[in-house]
Amino acid sequence: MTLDTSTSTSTSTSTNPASTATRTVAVTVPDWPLLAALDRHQRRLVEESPDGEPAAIDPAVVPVILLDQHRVTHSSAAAREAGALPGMKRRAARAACPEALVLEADRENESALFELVAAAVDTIAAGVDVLRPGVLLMSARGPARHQGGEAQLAERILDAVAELTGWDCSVGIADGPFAALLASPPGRIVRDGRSADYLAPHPITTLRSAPVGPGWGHRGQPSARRTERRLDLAETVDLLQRLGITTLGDLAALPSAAVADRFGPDVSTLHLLARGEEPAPPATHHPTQPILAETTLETPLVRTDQAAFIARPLAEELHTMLVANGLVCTRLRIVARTEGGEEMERTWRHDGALTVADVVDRIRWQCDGWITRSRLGGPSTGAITRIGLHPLQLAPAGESAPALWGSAGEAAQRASRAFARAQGLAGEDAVQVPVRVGGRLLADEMVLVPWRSEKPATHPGPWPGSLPRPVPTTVFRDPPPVALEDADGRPVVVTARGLLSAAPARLLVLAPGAPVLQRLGLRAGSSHPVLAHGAPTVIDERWWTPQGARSARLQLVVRGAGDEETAVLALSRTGSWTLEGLYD
Amino acid sequence: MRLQTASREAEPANREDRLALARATLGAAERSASRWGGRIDRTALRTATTPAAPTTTTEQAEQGLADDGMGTRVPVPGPLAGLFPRGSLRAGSSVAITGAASTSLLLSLAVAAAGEDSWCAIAGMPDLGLRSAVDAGLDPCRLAHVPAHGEQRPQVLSALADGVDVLVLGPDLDLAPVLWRSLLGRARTADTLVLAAAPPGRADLTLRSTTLRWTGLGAGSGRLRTRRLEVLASGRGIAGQREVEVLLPQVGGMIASAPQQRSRHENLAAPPPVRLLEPVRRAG
Repeated sequence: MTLDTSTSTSTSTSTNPASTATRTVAVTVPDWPLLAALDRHQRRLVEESPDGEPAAIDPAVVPVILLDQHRVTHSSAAAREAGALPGMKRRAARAACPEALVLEADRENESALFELVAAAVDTIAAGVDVLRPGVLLMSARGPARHQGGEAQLAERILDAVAELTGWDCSVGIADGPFAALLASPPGRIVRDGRSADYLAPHPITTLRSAPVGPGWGHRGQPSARRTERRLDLAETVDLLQRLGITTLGDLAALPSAAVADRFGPDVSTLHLLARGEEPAPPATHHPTQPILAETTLETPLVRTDQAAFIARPLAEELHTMLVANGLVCTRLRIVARTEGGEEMERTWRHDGALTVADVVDRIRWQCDGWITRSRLGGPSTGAITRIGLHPLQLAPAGESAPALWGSAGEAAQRASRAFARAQGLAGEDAVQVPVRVGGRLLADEMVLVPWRSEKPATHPGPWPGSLPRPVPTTVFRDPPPVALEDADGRPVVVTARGLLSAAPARLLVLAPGAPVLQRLGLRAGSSHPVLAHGAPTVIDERWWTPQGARSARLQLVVRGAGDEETAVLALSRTGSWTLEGLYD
Repeated sequence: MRLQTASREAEPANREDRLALARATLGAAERSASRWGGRIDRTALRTATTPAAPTTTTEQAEQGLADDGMGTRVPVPGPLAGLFPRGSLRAGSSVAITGAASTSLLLSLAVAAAGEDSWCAIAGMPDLGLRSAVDAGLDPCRLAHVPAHGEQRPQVLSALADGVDVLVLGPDLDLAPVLWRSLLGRARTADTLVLAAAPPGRADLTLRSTTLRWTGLGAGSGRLRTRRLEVLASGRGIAGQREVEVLLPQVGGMIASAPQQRSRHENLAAPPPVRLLEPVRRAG
């Protein structure tokens, strides 16, 4: 496998700083199911033949076809030449290529054997996630820096896999998992920020390998339980093709609001991927008590069929814990301790929320993989005595979790449909939710962020000087300027000691302010007698930095229009007064 | 033995209470069920007897009994219950709120109507104090703020009227009368309560508020504590006008029923001693 070095060496030539996708390495083994089935077949031959080793089968020369449910899923190059193509029925394939070796697909075996590849990549880089058998994903930044460049990293991975397992793999590096996946078969390194350009000419059918799934793209509502909403990629691709969208570039060129409106959140995620971006993972959640399920095995695990028995109770235990905390897990680490005290671990990334069955499968595959590895002459590990499940990425189960009466949560679903529609109509900012971030001024204390976007970090405080309750119901975004006068008509200021220079007698509204002021009769140019005032509160913000600002807050009750008492909150900064809030 | 008879004597009165309580609980459960779309026909369940007087003064008990063939009812803040016919609002109705304390009243009505599990959307209040909304009791997890400007505004508002349970329309929305009427129609079919400040058309109920006075602030001392508010209600189901006095906000930012008038004299007497505290010396 050669690297396309013409597009490599992405040394800080980031042309697109707006791209926020993670630099990702994808390691794929082409035709992995075929290779795994062939490997199994050969091992069986070795066991069966009592004398000597049978000749190794080279898939490049010998025609091999792999069947799954009576359809050809993969065929070797020689078989393809003879006309046995993926998608054919068994009979047609046999007719086209009678001499072909026919093998049955075995997902267990594929997954277990892939552990060898994962272990080989592990020798080069840390943080390797298995997306599915045949595909590994990991973050590129750290390993690339350690190996002295992305091209070097790719080469080291290719060498390690070839040396330790004997299989050829291919490595792609790009921004975001989807571009990396597509860059992997040709072995390309896409430059920083150029993922969208790289993806654009690819046919729309490549979306079938997109790393999406229920829950992953639905920020805020990983819908683990709503199986009927599961995204059918093949159907979606078919629909897009019928609509005349033939390349990823065509899809990326559509306005995102229109896509969200017409196709819903699932295809919006695909659209996001086609533009070379990465769907933000659901807001990760850190429970106060760590969630992990562990079991110590009375009889050490030496055979693969034993793994099946321990997997289900363990997965169910984890699932119960997650449900009790209202969480779903999208990334799982399986940790095993062996007799010799060695610890092995492997992280499984999943497109959506992991269900019990998914977890059971992964435990079984992983245990199989470790056991197979030691049997195939890898580093001997000894029997597994302890297995633990550590969920790495937790997200709130969202609004889809049914409640006590069975139907609760429907209001949330109804509302989220309405909000999604509003956002589809008028953009992401059409629906905003309040988030407390903390601050002394009322406008800083809580901010609005678009619904279902990442929430800013909260600074819990304490915030000395923040306003005690009751707080104004109106907080001006653009504080209208006002002036305070004492009884003799001189301006009232807050002195350096935090005192008023005189008791304010009149409030003057200087400029035409917000409409809410107009409604209460505080029109521009009008003056209103001050009925009562408090003592100024000095807010000394960030005085230790050059950006520090000193301001003073004053509560006032003035007589508005119609002789009604109106309470306002005035803020003095560098000698001039504005209205921070209004109690209306 | 004596104990047993005593308890048996006490039982009838007790049973009445328990029956009322059970009915109220059942009513509340059914209301919450019917809010998810499935309307439950209660005609078979309704007893011929007059509903027992709500001896427990909790809102919920009152709510459960108010639900007899009038559609889903939506609770209102306790201190304001006297303003509304039957002490609650019909889901899908509209309330117009004008006057000095319109924002606070909108928020407190929205809090009561949103209850434990309904969603609330606030449109057309760009200067809303978010912390005051949270202080009033709105759950920020079930609250959406909608700027609603731009040409898609009618569609956005219609989508919200279909989707949320409480829709608050602020005064800066500048609604066209046609849009207002179509929103009301949508809200009626979707059982959405519409609370609007200064709507362009008529609403089922109109609340008008007048500030009587603020307390807590002196001359150079103290802080704002409570506002005494007079709220007048008129509209469908109300003969003439109804009137209550409430504290909005009270010290915690919520709504409370106003104590009797004696506080006025206290308040008049209050400022002079406060002024004698000489805030200058204290602050220095």
